[in-house]
Amino acid sequence: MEQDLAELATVVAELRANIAATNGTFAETFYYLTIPLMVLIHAGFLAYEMGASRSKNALASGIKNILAFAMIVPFFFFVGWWIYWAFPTGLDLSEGAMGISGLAYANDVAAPWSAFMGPNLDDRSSGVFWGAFVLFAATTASIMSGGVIERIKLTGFVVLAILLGAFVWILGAAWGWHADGWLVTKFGYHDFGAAGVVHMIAGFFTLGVLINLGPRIGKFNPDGSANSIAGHSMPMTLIGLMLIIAGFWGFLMGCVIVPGEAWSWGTTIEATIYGTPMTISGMTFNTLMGFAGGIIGAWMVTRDPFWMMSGALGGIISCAAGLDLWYPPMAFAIGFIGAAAMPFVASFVERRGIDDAVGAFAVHGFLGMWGLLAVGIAAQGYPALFGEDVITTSFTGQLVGAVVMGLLGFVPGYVMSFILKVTGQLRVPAEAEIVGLDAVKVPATAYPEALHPSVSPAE
Amino acid sequence: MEAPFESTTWDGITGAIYAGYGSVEGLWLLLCLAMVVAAVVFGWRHESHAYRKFEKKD
Repeated sequence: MEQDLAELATVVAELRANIAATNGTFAETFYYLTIPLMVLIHAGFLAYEMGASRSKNALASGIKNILAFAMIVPFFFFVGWWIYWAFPTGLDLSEGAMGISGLAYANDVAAPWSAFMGPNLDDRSSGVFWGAFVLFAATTASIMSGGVIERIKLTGFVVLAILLGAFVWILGAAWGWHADGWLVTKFGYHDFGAAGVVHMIAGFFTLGVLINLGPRIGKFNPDGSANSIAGHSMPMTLIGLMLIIAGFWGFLMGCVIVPGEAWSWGTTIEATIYGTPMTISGMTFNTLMGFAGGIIGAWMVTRDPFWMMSGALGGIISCAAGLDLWYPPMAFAIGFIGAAAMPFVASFVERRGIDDAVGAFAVHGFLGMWGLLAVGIAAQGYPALFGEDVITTSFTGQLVGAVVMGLLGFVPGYVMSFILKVTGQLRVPAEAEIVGLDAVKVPATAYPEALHPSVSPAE
Repeated sequence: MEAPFESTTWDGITGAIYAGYGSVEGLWLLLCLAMVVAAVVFGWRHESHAYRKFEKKD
């Protein structure tokens, strides 16, 4: 009998070890796969920006986009990941109630010389989580990249991209996208799919930069009216937008905490980054409904394929903060309303004399804000955190979060671009802008067998 | 730079296994940072030179 029990215990132990190995591999692979999916976002941004540029600037826009992605990777290793774990409770580096934040914790798990910041046989999560966050970071820079095409200096842009991708947005993520984040613990802020911490921050940062950067030559007439500056390839732009949307599924996967691991919130069901239960299945209803609502809403008000595809993106962003909670028709309506409003916001910005070449503020800044407020309007009263007697979601919490995200994006973007402007590092010379940046500084030609592009200012 | 452990087998090895663990991370971090800074400086010079050259030609 005793021998049978011992054998049984051995078998159970083996089974447990096998299950743990399988679940560990599943969790590791889950986050690993978010990365190539999110690379599609950058393939999309690359095509989108190059297509939205005139052919004389196509490669310069591409270089800018590729370089931003590359520059963010090392800086996110040096400091970005550490910021995320160090600052959730504010700027005092103290530890939060969950015990996964503060100076000591950040130094232990995320300092660039930490044992967990490289191959480690006891750690199957840090690298894939870090990788997913790097892709979130690169997305913020790509959002800005589209708005500033055709007149920004490359090195000035690189400085702004590093500031946004490795410092600014991740501080917002620490505050509002972390179970110890003060916006979450004190205000019940809920932002499942990063409407605020990625889209709104990046959109408002871009707005701050655009104010100092100024419009492209020929964008505005002396009487203040705006000219439309068409990109050289609308089909490329549309395909790019669809690729961004394909990548969004990876982005949203990266917002989910899978069960069953030591760092998971539980053993049975997926959770949000706050530890609240959710399902990927439920998120799927809402993502597709928001996507469809966005396209239809934008089509209704514009009939323009560019805005329709931006509406697809905007519909998902509008729903992002509450993708874990919406009733699917609600997600459709929120996406529809956001995307229908988006072109008017873009026109409003343009009437202020701001040249946002691809509507980055309207799509990401405005709709990120709308997404946060939508949770405050239509999804109040949910427990905002893992645990007992926790704070619940509310309109006030979402409003406070939106104000913080807006300021956290706009102020650094405005200040840093102002410094670059006064030091002459923000904008290319007018002559170079008129001729086109590819001819001036790119050692390759986008369309060598095509006719020479027009060099008149507004074409 | 060498393995962070002395062993002729992987049996029993746990924890961080990357080359230089616990000794030379700072050196490589500084080198990495210096490379990025150098690339940005060279990029800035190339861009400035391109604009100046263009202005002269113009």
